[in-house]
Amino acid sequence: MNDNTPSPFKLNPKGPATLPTNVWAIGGGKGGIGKSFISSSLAICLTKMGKSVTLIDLDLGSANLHTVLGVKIPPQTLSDFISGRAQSLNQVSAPTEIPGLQFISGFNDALNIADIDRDNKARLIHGIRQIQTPYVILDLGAGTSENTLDFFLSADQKVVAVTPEPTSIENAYRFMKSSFYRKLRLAESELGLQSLIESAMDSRNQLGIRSPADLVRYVSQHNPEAGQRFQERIGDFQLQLLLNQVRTRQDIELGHSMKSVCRKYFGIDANYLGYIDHDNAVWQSLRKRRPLVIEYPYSSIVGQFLQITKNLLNPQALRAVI
Amino acid sequence: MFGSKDGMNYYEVLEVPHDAPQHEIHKAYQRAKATYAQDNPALYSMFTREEARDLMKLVDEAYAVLGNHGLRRNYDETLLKAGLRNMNPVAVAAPSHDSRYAPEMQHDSLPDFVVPDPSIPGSFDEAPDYSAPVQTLHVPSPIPPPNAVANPYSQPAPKPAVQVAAPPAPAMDPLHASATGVRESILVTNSEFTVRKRETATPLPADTGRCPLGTYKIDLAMEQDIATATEFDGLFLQKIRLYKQVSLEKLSVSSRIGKTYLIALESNDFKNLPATVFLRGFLVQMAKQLGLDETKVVTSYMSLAKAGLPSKYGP
Repeated sequence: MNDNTPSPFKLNPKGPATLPTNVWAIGGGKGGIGKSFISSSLAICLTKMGKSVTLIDLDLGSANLHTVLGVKIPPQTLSDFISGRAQSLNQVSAPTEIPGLQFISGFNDALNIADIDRDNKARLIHGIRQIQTPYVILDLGAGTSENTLDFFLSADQKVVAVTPEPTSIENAYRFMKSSFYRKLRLAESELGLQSLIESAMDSRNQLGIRSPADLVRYVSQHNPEAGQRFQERIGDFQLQLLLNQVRTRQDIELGHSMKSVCRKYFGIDANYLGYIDHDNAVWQSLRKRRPLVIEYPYSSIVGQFLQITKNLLNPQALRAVI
Repeated sequence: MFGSKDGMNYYEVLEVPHDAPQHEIHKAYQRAKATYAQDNPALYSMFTREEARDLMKLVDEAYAVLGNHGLRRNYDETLLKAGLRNMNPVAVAAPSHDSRYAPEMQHDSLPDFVVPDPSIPGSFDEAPDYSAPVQTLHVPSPIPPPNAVANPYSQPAPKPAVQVAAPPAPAMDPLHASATGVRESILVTNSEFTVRKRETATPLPADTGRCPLGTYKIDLAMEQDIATATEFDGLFLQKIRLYKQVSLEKLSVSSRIGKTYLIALESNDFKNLPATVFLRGFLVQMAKQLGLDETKVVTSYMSLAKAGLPSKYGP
């Protein structure tokens, strides 16, 4: 039967409309802090809980999520969608050996995929929402390029991965700042605060605005109505902090400290999702090219991933406990 | 001055809800203390040292009020009366607070430097603006000048200890010798060196006394008072502390007793003191840090506290 012929009598074989897609993005600024590892592990944990998930490698230009997952490169990849050869992302998503897990590879022959234009980016972000599985996980690339930030901001759950090294912490804050100002820029025409945001982004501005928290306060003081709208806009900018490669007790406390710094600096509430221990099993499983959650299902680190997945599934529960 | 402090009330400083119970406020305080400690990597690239220090002062200030039932109630009333919950905390500083402690409550009036914490290695040697202690360290003479002692914030005479602790370095050119001398004297601020220094104490000038937290000018009448005293009440302990040039912050850091409790202890405010068993520990700590006879201090103060307390606090 040809699915393309519209028939008024045909019912949708897939049943009624599904719930809106829940998109999680894993970012963090610095390379090598385990973004691909975290996104693949979270995806597999979700499938273990009986959810179906699509994992998208959005590290455009240096995609290697297929290696972390230990799967073959699917016949169709993101570049097919971007070049227009595939109409929807559902066509390029390939099933994997792990039940319930679909995978869209960013592996490509077109070397210029890293610089996709604005229209294609919008098409991609729109396409992600049309994916059939209820959960979609985006594995973002390193750096704070506009594309990465836009993918990050389009997600429902924005996870910032960080390791307890100063370089990673610095880049994570840089990533948060960049995405915060990116968000303000996208909303600025609506708020009518272009010039103010422009000057606030210059760190040596005359107004004494040093941080986003200052900016919010400045706007609220001078125009309470605009301040109200402003706070509504940034209200949904909720970050989820995930600490990776934790070795000591102090490292665990770092998450709480970063949460407090976010509060004082951005004036936003970040959630401390949890931490993942530093574990030799990680590189061992990577060398075997088998996902850790499958290879060592009873390791403590998988328990931590399961807990983090639960926290992400039900953020209200996290807030109630802490 | 850190811009965004204006407009934060004490609850926002400690990041607790307005109806948070005391134990949560205490927990939040400890967490905030750890967060804004000088060497916390989480501050890196977000807050400068000065900003972190200002935030730390603000945190201390907030806890001094919110950590005390009476002060917190007054503060809440002030907030309510003002009708808005986000106003400048300094303007609403604890109305009923004892005037002796007022300078510590309002951090704006504090001198622009902090007491370097000897328990944190390295917290001191990178600090750019601890002008007072650094000057002391650069003094080439092995005996600290008496005027250095007058500053309660300066580190306890590091130079003599170096001469004992450091390996002998004969036949060095003067330039080299002074350079290493400075480096080692900075090392002395680490706690392990401080301990060693205490063991191998070298003679001080005749008019200078030593207690575990520093040196002070000896006043014979006061020494006589301390030696003959049998009643150690809060006011007398405070007098001794001031005489021995020990600041409240310094005592709080080294004895690990919260400033609120120290203030209550010194003002004989028995209601706000912890349970008897903790109080005893606090007194022992305080006596040790001030170089007093523990038994005398504890027995006399405990009997005072028991007499001054309602029966439910008693044994």
